[in-house]
Amino acid sequence: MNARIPEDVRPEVHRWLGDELFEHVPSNIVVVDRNYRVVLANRQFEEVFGKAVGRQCYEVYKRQDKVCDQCLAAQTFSDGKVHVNDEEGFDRRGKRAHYVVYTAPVRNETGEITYVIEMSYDVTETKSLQRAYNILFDRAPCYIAVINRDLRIVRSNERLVKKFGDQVGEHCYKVYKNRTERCSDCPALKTFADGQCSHSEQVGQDKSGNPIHYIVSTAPLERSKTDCSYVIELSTDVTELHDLSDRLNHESSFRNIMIESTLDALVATDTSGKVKVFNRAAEKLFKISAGQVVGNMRSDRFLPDRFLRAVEAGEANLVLSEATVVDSEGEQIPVRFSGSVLRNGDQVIGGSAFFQDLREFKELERRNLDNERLAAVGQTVAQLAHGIKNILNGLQGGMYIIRSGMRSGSQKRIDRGWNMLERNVDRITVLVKGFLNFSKGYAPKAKPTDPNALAKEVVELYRDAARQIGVELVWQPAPLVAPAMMDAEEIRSCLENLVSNAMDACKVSDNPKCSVTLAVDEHDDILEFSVHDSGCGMDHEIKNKVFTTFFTTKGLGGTGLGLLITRKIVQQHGGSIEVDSTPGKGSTFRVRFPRKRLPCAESANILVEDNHQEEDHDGGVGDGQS
Amino acid sequence: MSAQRILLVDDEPDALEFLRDLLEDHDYVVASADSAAAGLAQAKKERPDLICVDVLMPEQSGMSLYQQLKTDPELKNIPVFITSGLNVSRDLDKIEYRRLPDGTIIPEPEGFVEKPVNIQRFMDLVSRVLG
Repeated sequence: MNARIPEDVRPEVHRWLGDELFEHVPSNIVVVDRNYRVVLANRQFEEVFGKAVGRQCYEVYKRQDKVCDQCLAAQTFSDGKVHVNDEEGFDRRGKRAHYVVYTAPVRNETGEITYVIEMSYDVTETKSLQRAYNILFDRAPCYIAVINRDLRIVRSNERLVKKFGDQVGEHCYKVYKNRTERCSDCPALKTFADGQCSHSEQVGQDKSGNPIHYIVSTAPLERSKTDCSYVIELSTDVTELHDLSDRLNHESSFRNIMIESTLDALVATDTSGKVKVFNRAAEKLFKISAGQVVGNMRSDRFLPDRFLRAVEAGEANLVLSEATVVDSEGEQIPVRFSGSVLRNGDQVIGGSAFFQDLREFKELERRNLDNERLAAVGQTVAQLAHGIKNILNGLQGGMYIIRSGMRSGSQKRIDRGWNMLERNVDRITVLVKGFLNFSKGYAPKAKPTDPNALAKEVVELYRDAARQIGVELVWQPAPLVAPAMMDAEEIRSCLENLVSNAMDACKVSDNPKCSVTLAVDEHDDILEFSVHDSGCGMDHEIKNKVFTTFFTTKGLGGTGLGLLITRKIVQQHGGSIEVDSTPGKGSTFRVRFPRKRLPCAESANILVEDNHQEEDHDGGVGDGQS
Repeated sequence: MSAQRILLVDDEPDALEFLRDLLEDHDYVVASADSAAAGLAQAKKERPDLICVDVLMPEQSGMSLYQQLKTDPELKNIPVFITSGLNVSRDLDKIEYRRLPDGTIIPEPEGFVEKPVNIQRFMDLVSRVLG
């Protein structure tokens, strides 16, 4: 030591270095002899560990009663070298203390080591910081690795070990990604190169091979920017976030596909009333692009008034089997509508509306009706031909009888032939009138009508006639039947036709006690009128023909148009007619009106339009005749 | 040789009156019935040489009467004319009047007479069948 201090240093400096330094140096210094007894301790030492001189050093430092296992002083006594070690002991208040100890030999003139100087300084605070750092390192909610320039992991935290396995010494790309070469976008290499922090998003796989998404941040571990030999990598696991986002994306695209591919038009709105969703079917229905609508237009413009009123009245849902909306060109479109107010708990978050375009359906329905009418016209023509042929036969017969009467000079025979001619001319007049009535256009003037009352009127009308031919006429009303939208005049004439037919069937029957029943019934929203007679009935052929080729079996008494007209009226009310008959037992005609097909204001309009054409046509014929 | 007898079955009085006059003028003896049931009874009673049956009649049609006539052992050899305002050859085939419920097929009628009756053709047919 003395060798380091130049010869010319002043004696007072020597003295300070000897005495004062010992007392004032901010370090604990004791001198121990070969028995580890403290022979000298400086002030700093005694402030920390208390009175030391005369006590064993191990007793002072560690409150032990024997020499430490790895005694530094013993080593210095034996090898004469300086030793350094971390030690842990107790201060004079009994508090745990960490300190770094240096031991140095003190030799006498013969070179023998007589004492050892122990110098120590307190590292308790550093140690506790280190412990905190270790806890942070292991328990931090991310994967932490320290890697060297060879990209090998030199240290990894518990979390990383748990996820990727204990692979200290392995390359980080092997550990994180099970790769055999460096990653092209390695953030650690960037940090090694420029000493700056670096971030990137990576996909790796855990020790079981599951994909792990993480965001990695790298930072130089050394303070010196120029020479960095370690980088610390902090990786935040975002796999769950990623999965969640994937699921959200999936659900969102699923929803979008559903919205876009549904055949129903969908219009949805938020609380502002502006349209938020306007799918492809909606674009087609309203003839306007989603781009023009979404975020710009209010949804009210697309919704039926009845729905808006229902929402104002506090309704949450409304389904309309038929409503009208208006497209961008002002055309009215019939739709089936279903609208809902959307809620999240108690909070209204918007509204949604589905529209099913009914135009095609309506067109089909109209075409169907046209087809039925065409079929009826065809049947009428066949019937007409048959009727005319029978009348022609009568005319021919009348002419033959007159001619043969003239030839034989029989006035009686001529008169008979003349009467036959007249009868058949009358028949053809009735037939033509009936046919014109049938072909004349007609729109049901539908009003709410009590079916029971209507049936009763018909029964009253025929009561006397029935009594005269000895037929019992029965009115059988339905209990609790609601009024139905129908043209009372027309339906009455149908029922009259059926009752009159039934009475005719009774007239030619052998059954002495015939009855005719006009019954009203309703089941499953179908209103039914039935006319049953216990008259002659019809055999198979006639029954088959009664609605296919309309004809009469009443000779001069009928035109054969009655049932044809009846069926036409029934069809115009959306109904159907059928017959059940057994020869000799009687017949039942059933007229059924499904309530939902009964005329309403709109369908009546369609028929009126059709009828204008027919009326014009009739008018032309009429002018020609007059 | 006694006069040949013809039975007319038709619900139309005018048709009966016309053909009765026509046939009587040609020296046939004519009987008539205004329904299928009466026609069958008359046929059994009179055993005519020819029966003319109208198709469309109330209660029981002429085709049903035709089936009865052609399946009755005592009547089935009497020739039958079908008379109708229908297009007889076309419309009647559709209803398969010759097929009985048990599947047997009865023979075709001896003649079809479409109304209005062509007097010359009708009389030729009658005399040919009865000749």
